[in-house]
Amino acid sequence: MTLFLQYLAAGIASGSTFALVATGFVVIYRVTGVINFAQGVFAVLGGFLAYSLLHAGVAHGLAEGVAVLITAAIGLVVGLVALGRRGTPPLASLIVTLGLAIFSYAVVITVWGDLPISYDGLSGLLAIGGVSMQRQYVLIVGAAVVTFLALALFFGRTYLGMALTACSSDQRAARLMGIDVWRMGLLAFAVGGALGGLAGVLLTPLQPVQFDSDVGIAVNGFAAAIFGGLVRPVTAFAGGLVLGVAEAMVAGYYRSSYETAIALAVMLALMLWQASRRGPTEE
Amino acid sequence: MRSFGGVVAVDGASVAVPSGELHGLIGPNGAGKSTLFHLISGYLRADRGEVIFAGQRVERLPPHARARLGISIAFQAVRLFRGMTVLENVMVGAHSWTRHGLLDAALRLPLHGREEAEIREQAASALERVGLPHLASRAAESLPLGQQRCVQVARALCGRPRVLLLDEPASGLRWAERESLSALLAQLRAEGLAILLVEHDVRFVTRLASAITVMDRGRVIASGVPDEIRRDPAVIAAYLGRERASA
Repeated sequence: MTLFLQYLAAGIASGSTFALVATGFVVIYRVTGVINFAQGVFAVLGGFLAYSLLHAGVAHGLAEGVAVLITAAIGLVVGLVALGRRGTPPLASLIVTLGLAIFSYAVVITVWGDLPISYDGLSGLLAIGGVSMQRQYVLIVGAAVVTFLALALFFGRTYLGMALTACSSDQRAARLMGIDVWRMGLLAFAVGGALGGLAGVLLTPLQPVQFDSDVGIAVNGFAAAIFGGLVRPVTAFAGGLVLGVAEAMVAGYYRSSYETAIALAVMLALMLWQASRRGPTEE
Repeated sequence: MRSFGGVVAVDGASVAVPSGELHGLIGPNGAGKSTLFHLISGYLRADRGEVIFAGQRVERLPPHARARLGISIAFQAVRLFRGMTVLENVMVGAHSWTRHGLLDAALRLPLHGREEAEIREQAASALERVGLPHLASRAAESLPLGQQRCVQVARALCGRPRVLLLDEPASGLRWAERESLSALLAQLRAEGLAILLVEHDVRFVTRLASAITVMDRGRVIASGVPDEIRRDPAVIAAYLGRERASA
């Protein structure tokens, strides 16, 4: 039973990072209609940037924070390149993000090399209800939940957030209200970059990252996002947690090499069940 | 001029609306009224022709830039933003005059807060004008269609327009609601707003409009003051007569 709870804790922690990546997918998709294949890259770059900053002597916390800010800026640049001129179709932008993701391998290998890196997160164990778990787990879950709530407040309560929500509800009508949908798209990419970067700086202490780790991260995040139809952030967040827990259980009780495959199968089964309940007419 | 794959929707149609005038645009279904609206708002781009607003040619500007100049629209097919309250929907209309960009929002928070309060106030008073202040916190998509139309008008008004494009704002309204909308439009006209109104109910238009343009199959077939229009044989043949025959 204790073992089960430990797997559960580990799963919720890694699931929280999937949830952050998934939220990034959702934010960008809702506002721009683009599936951003470079979403996993933000996490990889976040990990590498934090690693370099920590090695340069920057204190923990600050280093991770700066790394997240830089990934937000990178998100903005990806948005600029991918969205291109006003009126670029989302499918064209999607291919551009895929190209940028592959290009990022060259950048990472040139700057950092092709070996995996890691750094220490919060050390020590925390005992909650007889289960001891790494403090880093608690940090990850806490950071993810706080970020998610802050985003909900931003989208629901601020004027800028309302404009973003308006864009995701009806882009063409939003344009006629004087909203510059293109710039809102850039903002969404910056938010997506920050979310991916945050996932990366939190995840790197748990599992080392290398230049092509973005695929695994993006697949998990995308699966979670798809769970919410790419538009419902709460469901996407829940999807991330389900995936994380499923993977931790497979890795714990069976073999870790099967974790992603089995977790994705669980996800598929859940989605089929969801679809059969909802009936074919909706969405 | 605008065509859709060989079908010419609007051709050689010309409408001029000075400020302080309510200009009615009527015509049978498929006459090109809504297309003309979309060419003015920038929702569609004209293949040929000019849109001149306050002495400036705007036909190449993207729609959000036209909105910023003061062109506001209420759609025929109601398009409120889902997942937002009525008041929030109306607030979004204010984007056409708010100055803050992304950086302002991020860096100059005090100004942002003050402007946001101003926007909220403006939206509340726009809701008041269309007679729906009591519905401010309801979910926009939960309202009956007639009231959603009124919310659209409020959203357009919140944009501080100089010209207001209204595409069948009275359809689906009950009699009393129609009367109050009609009073509001008369008042807005008196305040110096230019209003271009598409409406099926010819009596509703002729009562309010100081000038009327009649379209049929993408062309203007008559324009003038309401009394002339009512007597125009081409209009009676193309539109009024048909309506009478079907009624």
